[in-house]
Amino acid sequence: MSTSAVEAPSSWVAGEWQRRRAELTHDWLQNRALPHANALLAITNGAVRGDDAAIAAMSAVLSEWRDRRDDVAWLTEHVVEALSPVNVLDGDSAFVFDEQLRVVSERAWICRHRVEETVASIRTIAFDLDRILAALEPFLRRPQHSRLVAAAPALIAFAAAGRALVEAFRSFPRRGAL
Amino acid sequence: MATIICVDNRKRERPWQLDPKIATLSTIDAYLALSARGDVLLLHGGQPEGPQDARKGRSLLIEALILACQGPGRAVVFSGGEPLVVRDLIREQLQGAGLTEGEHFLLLSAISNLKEEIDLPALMNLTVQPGWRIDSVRRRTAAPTLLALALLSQATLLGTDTTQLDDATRTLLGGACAEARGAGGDGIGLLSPVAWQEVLGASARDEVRSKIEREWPPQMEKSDAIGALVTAIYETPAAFEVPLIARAFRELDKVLAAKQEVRV
Repeated sequence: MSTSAVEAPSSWVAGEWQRRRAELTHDWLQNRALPHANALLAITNGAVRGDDAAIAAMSAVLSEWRDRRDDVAWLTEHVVEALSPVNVLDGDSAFVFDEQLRVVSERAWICRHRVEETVASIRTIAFDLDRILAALEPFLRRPQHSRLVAAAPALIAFAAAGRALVEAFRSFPRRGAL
Repeated sequence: MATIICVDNRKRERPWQLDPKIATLSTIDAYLALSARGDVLLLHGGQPEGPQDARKGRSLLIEALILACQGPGRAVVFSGGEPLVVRDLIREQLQGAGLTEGEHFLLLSAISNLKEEIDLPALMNLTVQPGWRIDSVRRRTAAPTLLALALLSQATLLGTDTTQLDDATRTLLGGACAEARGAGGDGIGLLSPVAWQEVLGASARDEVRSKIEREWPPQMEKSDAIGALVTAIYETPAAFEVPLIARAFRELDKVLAAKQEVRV
């Protein structure tokens, strides 16, 4: 995790962080992957009907986790640079931070908001999702109705881990919050 | 008082709850059917009926936003599917209808909590006047002078003998974890006012005072401790001591938390 103590101020990182966070948790997880995982489970228990084509389309969304993995790594790596209150003041010529002040203030912020604990828990959830996707692999290779029941435990685990990931990102402080 | 109407088919899933005075409808059609549409529309950008055709080639979502922004009316679009695609389309169409982002409407894609983005109590208590800007109620993330003072106080406290601090302040600083990281001589030099002057603009004590005054929320009491802290930085470094800094830090933290406005 970068503490950005000696890096150049970067509003680009802050903007990019918000964009990637929104794509990961809002667009992909909350609006696509979790609804689709829940829909697959609903098909499994007979609450909803779905043919093999629909099941394949929904399953493909879950497979996208492999592409999202890099975003999780980048987001956890750059969270301090993106959200730290110290960096909010960068670029404002009225405030030239003494390096020592910058380091101590940022460290205090990291401790106060338990940023490292949240990062650790996100990384743990990401490893869990890796394992869950590995368990789902046989189903994802041949996503058919007849194979859904066997995949149900892993789908339930996927939904729980996905919700935990959303919550973990939500627990980061707002950018600039002291 | 502004009248606010919210349209959100996923109200029950939200991690925030709106004030009961804000009427919430579940469809855009229900909003369009109203005879009086209020002063501000809060619209979920991901409404499933949003892309449906309304008239003049416009979608229902755009139609509702344009109607909401007539006269002194304003609109906020929150959340909403895939922002990279949808957000630009909405912006383009609203600008094509003569509306200006920030003045007439706000696009808040993929947010975690609407209450963290919009100062809803301020919006509800607003007196609507011609030309008012919707971004005047957008929460920001800190006021520079107050934030700088708070960061300085925080850093300095961590550089001092933390046994002098009360438990509340120690907790506020991040507890034992922050103390351990701040210790070891890192912060000792911070008790010199030189670093403080450098950050706050050494030549301009009055400027610091006026900035504090500008950035202080009008509804909050002035803080004696912060006034004394600024005086100590510039005039009487002998008065620059841990209890004073701790009091000022607590005040700054309180104000920044209440204001939630640290200018980006």
